[in-house]
Amino acid sequence: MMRLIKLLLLTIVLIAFINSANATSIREEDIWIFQGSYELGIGERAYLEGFTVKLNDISNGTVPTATLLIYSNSVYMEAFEVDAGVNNEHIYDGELKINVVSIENNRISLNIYKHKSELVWVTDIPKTAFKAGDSLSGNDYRITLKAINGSTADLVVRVGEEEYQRTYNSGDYEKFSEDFMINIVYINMDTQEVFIETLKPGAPQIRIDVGNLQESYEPNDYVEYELVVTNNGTIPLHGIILTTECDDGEVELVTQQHSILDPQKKKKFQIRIKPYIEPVTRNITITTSVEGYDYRGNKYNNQIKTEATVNSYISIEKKVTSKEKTSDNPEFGTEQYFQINITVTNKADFQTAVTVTDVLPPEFIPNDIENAEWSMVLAAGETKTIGYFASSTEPGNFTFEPATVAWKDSGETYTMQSNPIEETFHVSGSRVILQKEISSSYMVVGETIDIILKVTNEGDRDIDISFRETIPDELSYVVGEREWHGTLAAGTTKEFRYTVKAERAGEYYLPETELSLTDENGKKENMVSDELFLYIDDAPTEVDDQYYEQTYNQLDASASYPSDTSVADPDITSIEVMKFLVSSFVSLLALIAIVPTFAYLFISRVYK
Amino acid sequence: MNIAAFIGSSMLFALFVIVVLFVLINMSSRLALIILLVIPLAFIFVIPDISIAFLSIQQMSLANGLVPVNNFHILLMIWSTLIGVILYTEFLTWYLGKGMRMKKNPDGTIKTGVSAKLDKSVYDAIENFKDILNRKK
Repeated sequence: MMRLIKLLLLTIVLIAFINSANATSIREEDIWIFQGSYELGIGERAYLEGFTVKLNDISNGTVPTATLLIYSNSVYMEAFEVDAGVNNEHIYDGELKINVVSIENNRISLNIYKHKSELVWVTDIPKTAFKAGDSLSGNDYRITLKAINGSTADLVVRVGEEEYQRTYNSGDYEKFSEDFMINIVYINMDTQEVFIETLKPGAPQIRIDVGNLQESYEPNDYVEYELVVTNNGTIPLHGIILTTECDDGEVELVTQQHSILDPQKKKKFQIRIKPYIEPVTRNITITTSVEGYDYRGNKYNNQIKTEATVNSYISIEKKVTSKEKTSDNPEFGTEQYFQINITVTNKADFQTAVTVTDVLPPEFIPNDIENAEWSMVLAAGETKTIGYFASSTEPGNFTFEPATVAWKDSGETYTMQSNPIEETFHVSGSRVILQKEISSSYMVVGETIDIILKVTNEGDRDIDISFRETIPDELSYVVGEREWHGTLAAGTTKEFRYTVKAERAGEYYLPETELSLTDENGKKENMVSDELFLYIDDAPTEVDDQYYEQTYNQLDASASYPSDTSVADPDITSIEVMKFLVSSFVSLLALIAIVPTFAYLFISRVYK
Repeated sequence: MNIAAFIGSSMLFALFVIVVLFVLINMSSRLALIILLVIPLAFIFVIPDISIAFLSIQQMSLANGLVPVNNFHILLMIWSTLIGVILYTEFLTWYLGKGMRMKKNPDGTIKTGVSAKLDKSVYDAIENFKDILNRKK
């Protein structure tokens, strides 16, 4: 018990003797703090921390006077008259100072100050140990420790051109100017050291950040986001006014106020802008400027430009859903079909006529519609959905193009596409390609040719295939596969080849091959190949000049040469040509000489 | 139609015709007849490939391609024309000469030179042939 009483007494003694001065009290000053500049019309109010100032009336005499009312925490306190001349200052309760700048056009401009203790000074040079003879230089000053005499320190302080000789005790401080103060933190008599720090007035600093800005805004909604104002400075910021401007929309609150922002504190402002309705998606620029004052009324400001994307008032969305065909669907081939939904919305406050166009992959056929184009009228705020089905004619992987909407606004045509559909859709099924070829379309009786059938399964499902070739009477089967029944795996090709012999001359069409297909679900389909032309010639019996010549002339006359001036393939020797020419010459000579010869003989006989 | 081939061929044929007519007028109709046959044959003999190719060139195709006209045809046409010209020249020369002779010399025995001798021998041969015919009668 005794020990407890001793401890209590010691505590009381300590509390009584400890110097109450601390760092914070040095840094704060009991001053009129500038709260902001206000311009008020009649009936308008300026909101301050704990106080409200209202302009009640303005009387326009020779010297215009204004009646102001003061409320403290929304309770009326007093009314007073001010003018812009001699009586331009009013102090309420030693706490609030109102300074009239001007009274014009029924508006009053005020500077309002509040009396309070506020952080003003910040550390310039932190606590530094001095020994006798040491000196320290700052921005515009120089401190030199001359000597330490017991518990006091002799200092020479030079500020600008002035030099001061001072003797300080531990904990002393002195303000030399509005911009410089010295603080003797501690004098250590044992080590003969003095710890000194210097102080300078702090400054607020405005930083603006944008928060919660969406990627895009709908035209019928507010462009709404947060603006975070931070005081990154060292002393509080007063009379904060935030002004928002936007050329592409209406700002809901052009100016917003806030009385004080302490260092490193944040204040969130909500910005709301109603954008003008435009037919195209565009970026709107919002300029927000923030201004504020320090305790002396020095102005600080900052500005930020925010870009927000506002969508067109017409929007389009396309959605593709793959669906399985029901098992009772007897159709052969693909197993999936697609439901396509296109949603068009008019977000404007007027009706608009639009044309919606959709593009399907070339392999697709829409069901029950003639073309993928729709014209419609969308009332204000209306949403319409177009739904249709389409199916692919062949299996494979497909992507869908976006749908397009076109409309007119003030004589201009605007188009917009839906967002691209990234997804690739797979259509399963069977697709068989049948090719029939012959090794030659010209043959001579007795010759053989090969007939080739190439069957390809391009789908992703196995398929049962059967066929049997019909051979016409003009040909006879020699060897090879002319009928088959089996399963053709997905993605594979099978080739069938058989040989036929020509029996009779003539021009024929080989009959088409009919392929019977059965898919995995038991659905059946038939497929036919092309008809192929075949020319069977008579067998050449022997080398026949007449035949040769005939063929030669036929070839020559058949205009099979591409140019008029062409050289027939002269498969003829020079002797043959000479023979031909001599015989031709003799024949012509004999033929032409007939008439003169007879005339000669006749004349000779008559005139003998 | 290949214009170059047509012009080239025409020039060659024109040259050929001029040479033959020159020989016919200035030298001898028989020599012209021989030249008419020999020149093409000589070309075929000396440069067979080029000559055959030249003669095979199709210049035009008449009646919708039914009648192709090669240089062969053109050569035959030139031949027939010139043979006609030569033969009738010869015949008319003979006829007019005979009339002249009959006016001056009714026995018809004035001729000199190789050509005249040749004429005489041809004439004699024809006379003999006529005699044989008469004897048969």
